[in-house]
Amino acid sequence: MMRKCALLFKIQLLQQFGINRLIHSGTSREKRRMLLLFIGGVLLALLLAGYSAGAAYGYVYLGLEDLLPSMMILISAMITLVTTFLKGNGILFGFHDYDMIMSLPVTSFTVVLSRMASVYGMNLLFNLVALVPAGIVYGSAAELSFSSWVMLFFLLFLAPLLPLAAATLLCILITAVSLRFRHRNLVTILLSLTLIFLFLAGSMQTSQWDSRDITALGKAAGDAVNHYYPPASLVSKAVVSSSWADFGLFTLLSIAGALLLLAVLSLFYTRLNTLLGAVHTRGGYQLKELRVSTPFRALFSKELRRYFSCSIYVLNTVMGVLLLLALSIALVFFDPSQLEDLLNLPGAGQWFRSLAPLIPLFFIGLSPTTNSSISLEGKNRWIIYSAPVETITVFVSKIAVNLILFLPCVLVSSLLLALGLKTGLLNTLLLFALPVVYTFFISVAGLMINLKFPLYDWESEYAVVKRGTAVLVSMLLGFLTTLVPIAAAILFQNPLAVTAVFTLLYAALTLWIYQRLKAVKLFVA
Amino acid sequence: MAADILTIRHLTKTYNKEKKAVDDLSLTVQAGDIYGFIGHNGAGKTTTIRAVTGVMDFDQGEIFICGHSVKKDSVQCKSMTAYIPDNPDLYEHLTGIQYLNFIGDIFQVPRQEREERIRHYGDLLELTPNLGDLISSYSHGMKQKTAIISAFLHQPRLLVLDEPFVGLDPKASFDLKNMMHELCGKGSAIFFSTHVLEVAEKLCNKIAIIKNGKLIASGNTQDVRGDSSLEEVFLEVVDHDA
Repeated sequence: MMRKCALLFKIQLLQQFGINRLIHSGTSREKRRMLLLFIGGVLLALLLAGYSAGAAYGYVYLGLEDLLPSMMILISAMITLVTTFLKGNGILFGFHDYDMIMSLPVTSFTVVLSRMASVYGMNLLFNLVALVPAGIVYGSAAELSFSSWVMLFFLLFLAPLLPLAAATLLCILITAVSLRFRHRNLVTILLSLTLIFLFLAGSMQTSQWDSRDITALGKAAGDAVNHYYPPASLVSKAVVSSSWADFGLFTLLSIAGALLLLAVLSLFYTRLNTLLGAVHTRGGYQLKELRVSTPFRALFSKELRRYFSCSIYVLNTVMGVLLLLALSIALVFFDPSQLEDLLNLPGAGQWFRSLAPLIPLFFIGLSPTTNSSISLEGKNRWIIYSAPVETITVFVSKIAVNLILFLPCVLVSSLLLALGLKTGLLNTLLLFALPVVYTFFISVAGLMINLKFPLYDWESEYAVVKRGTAVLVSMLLGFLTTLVPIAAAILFQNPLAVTAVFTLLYAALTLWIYQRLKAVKLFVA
Repeated sequence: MAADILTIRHLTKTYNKEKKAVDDLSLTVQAGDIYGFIGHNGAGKTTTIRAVTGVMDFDQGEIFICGHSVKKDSVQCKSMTAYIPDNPDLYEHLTGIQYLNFIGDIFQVPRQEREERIRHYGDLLELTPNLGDLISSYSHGMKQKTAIISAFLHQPRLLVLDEPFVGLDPKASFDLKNMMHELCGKGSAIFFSTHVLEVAEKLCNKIAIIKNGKLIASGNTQDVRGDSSLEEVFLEVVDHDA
């Protein structure tokens, strides 16, 4: 069984990231794409690792190092929950070679184990990047015993198991509910978003958010984690006190949870996939009066339907602006002067207020819909290639989808930020102007990036939306175009002027990229 | 004298600066022609078809549709052309009727004509009851039929098909042939590739045989075939050149 499982796992691995294609038919373009993906991945990993180490050092600096094991477990749980939740459907259910795999002489358990191994492997990678730096900082600062170090090491591999099981079960539940509806994708999206926001809201519940003492805040957060997530409490007791009994219990819970999930999933695997593969057909259609549109409106309507037909596409792109909205609402109740007390930095509140127009950029630039909209044409691209419309019309229809989804959220967020932070007249104008201009900029830039790094021969939208080179490059661009103006504002000590300059700069870049888009011709390579 | 609908002059397409997929190909398709394009796998049929429909760029030569250059007046040429690839991957997130309406909007087909043609072709191909369902629920044959209806929706001057009969049931194949004759009777032309030589022999008034990117025989089917069957002629010219 393990041999067959290893074979299935190997096939998945070769398929992921296009490894096998690169080995056997990699053109120089393909190799460049892989290299860029690799470099981008390494950069992102370094960024995350740096952030993890920095955050851990912050806890040590405040004398709260003993809370780190709990926080590490929480971070691991959050990463694993979100990743598995978003990835679950494409890897565990409804994968394109399901029929072929299930017709092979392998048990359902073997198939499930190989698929879960794939999901676990992905989560393990993220967990290692996030937890190893924090673990090293903690271990050194707390001068851990040898047995605690051993526990920390095994923790890296055990931590994802329970959240993996929980997220998989949630996936199944949501899928089971959505199956009853005709527009199952929309139901999946709504349920997934509700769950993610409930989780985020719940994880922000602590008794002392209005504390002006950051140490007390940190302690309250740690207590809340231990209270609401018992495995974190177990790990904390185990590592801090070198308690093998507590560690043994955590290990037992994690492995038992994972095995239980495997057993249950294997039992119902075929039935679940059959239900998922079933499509609603009604038949008996009778032709009604048709609504006639212009070519642009037809393309735009098609794009919008495409967007909402893919839950992973929606969830990946909408999170940024929804987080921006949530942050803006939170800042209505947050007094910037609290920052001065929290960080012990006079003037911090005023600085925060003056940097307000730059805050939305990070969220808007996270993942515009355009950075994968060309790739998502996939095997259908012959339709737009052979259609009698100017290429720019096709592009504008894709850009319009991003604008129609993002701009309302951006405008509402800007209004809330202005109200919450009580920005002055000029700052308020910029608070609207820069995010709006930036939304246009990132829309056209995302599209141009996707034209440079297209990925057409995908089997699952997941490969495009989560792992495409264009998405990665676009995200890096988003980071850079957010960090550079913030750095400039701090360097030149004049946030207003810098914001105004970057508003004009992004507007000019938008026009320049748009002109270049007009010259593009779409052809099969 | 019938008008020239499609004119290909010295078409050449090279991949990766090494492989010449199409090499100096010239042919003309006139109004009323059902022009069969035959060749072995990898001969250059699909490359030629993609160049004609504006889906693929080409290195040398010219292609004209009703006198308009595919390179210079691409939108104009595409508005007169309908293309069905060998494996018509359609938008699976749309229903059949949504896809047809989308194509109608793209080609700016007036409402009344659009509704009449969808009703007519939908009933003929027995697809109308399924038009309200998502294309993702369609079988291969149903997708093929949807693609066919979408191609005939704007009554193109030039209909380009790549292996159109694959996946169609016998009745649908028969209906498609009638549709093709009907379209040509109105002054349009059809250019299609096929491996099924019997179909080409019966359906096409003109034939071209391509091998390794080069045109090795072309003309009226009767002249190309002579006293032999098309299969014998095809095997002979293909082997002779080897």
